[in-house]
Amino acid sequence: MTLPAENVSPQLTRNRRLIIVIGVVIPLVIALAAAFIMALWIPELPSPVASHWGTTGPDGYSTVGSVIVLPLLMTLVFAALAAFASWKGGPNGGMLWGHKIMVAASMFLSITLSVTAAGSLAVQRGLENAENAPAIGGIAIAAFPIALVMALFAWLMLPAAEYITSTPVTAKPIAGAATQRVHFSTTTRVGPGVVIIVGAALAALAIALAVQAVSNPEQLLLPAVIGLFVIALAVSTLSWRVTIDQRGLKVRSAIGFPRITIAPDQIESVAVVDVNPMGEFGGYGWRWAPDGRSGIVLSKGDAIEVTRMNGKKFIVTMHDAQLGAETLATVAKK
Amino acid sequence: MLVRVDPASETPLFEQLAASIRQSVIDRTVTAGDRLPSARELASSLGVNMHTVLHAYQELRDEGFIELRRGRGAIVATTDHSYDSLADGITAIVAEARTHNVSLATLTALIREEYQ
Repeated sequence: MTLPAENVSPQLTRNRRLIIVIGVVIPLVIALAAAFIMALWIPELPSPVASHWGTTGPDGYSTVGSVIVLPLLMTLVFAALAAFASWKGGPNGGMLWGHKIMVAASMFLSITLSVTAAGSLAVQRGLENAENAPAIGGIAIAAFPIALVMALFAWLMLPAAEYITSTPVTAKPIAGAATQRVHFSTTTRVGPGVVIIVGAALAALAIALAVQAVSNPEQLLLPAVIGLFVIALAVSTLSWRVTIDQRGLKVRSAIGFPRITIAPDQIESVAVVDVNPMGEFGGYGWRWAPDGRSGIVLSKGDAIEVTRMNGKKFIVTMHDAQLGAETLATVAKK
Repeated sequence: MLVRVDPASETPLFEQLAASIRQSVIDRTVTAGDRLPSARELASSLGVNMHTVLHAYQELRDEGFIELRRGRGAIVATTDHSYDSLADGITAIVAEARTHNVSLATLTALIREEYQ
């Protein structure tokens, strides 16, 4: 990939090479090799092949082509996502731990998918009827540690994670009479980039459900319930309503749940911090960081950071964080 | 959007509320289409009577700052003009009044006189 006239540090160039090799090339080679081997087996395989196993044996069947292509396709999509997400690097040109996780996960996903798919076809070689396929639980269990070890190797091959430390700026209460009452409210939501990614993922989920509805309607209920739950969960974390008043800080998702409330007497201090969602929280949504902070992380930039009396820190990103923090400091002072 | 009221102040509460929200619209803390908190929500948040909030909202609707729709609450109205140039003019007038020790009451009276 050549980019026009971009001033890239040697460190970033090195990291990008690692991202491409470890996060894209190796996973794709593994998936391609698995696909090639599986393709060689086609003459020996029953048609259709077993593609899904229940507790008593195979209970789902599909064409051999889809078993071969699906892992390849998913590996390709995730590898592209991992490269895309980590391409820019951290603010100091290093790799953030969120980026490293994406690249290592690309390796993990490629191996689990390829080994499971290849294993599930391997046991069906020579069978007349896929209904007689033996259980493949052992293969799935074997694939997991192999993938985990390879993902660990991938992690170790990547440079040490760059940690972002931004200095919180303590917010001062708003000047005014002791009798004044304040109310601050704002809506905080994810940016268009995240919306596109979530939208694409939800569209893929909807298509998968539609395919299931057509091909296997009697087994639609569970996937549909899980699918709708995931969609509701995703949508609920995209937009949040923040209210600050004499009752403290209240953060509520667009659909009303979940909600977080911090009363004024639980607040030790309020500050404004600069947040990097990928680098500090590993992504977007309701998040926990490795350093113990939690919060609603929806955008890069300013956020309110509330330190509770018990020392725990809670964060909400928003465009007017300064005003919000000052309002909360006013309330907490009383 | 920040709303500040002081029940101890001589200015009526609804005017203080309206002034706060008006300011938020003018300085674009809230923009056209944004939904304001419901009257009930804002009233309980500030510990004031709901009718006080409704009074302020009606005042702002009459001034064209917000729209009140049944069931949808208060929405910041679309305006085809900006208050920026006006704000600049006001800053200049107030500065001028200060240098000549003209009181706020006098300045307000002068503006009212000119407007009518």
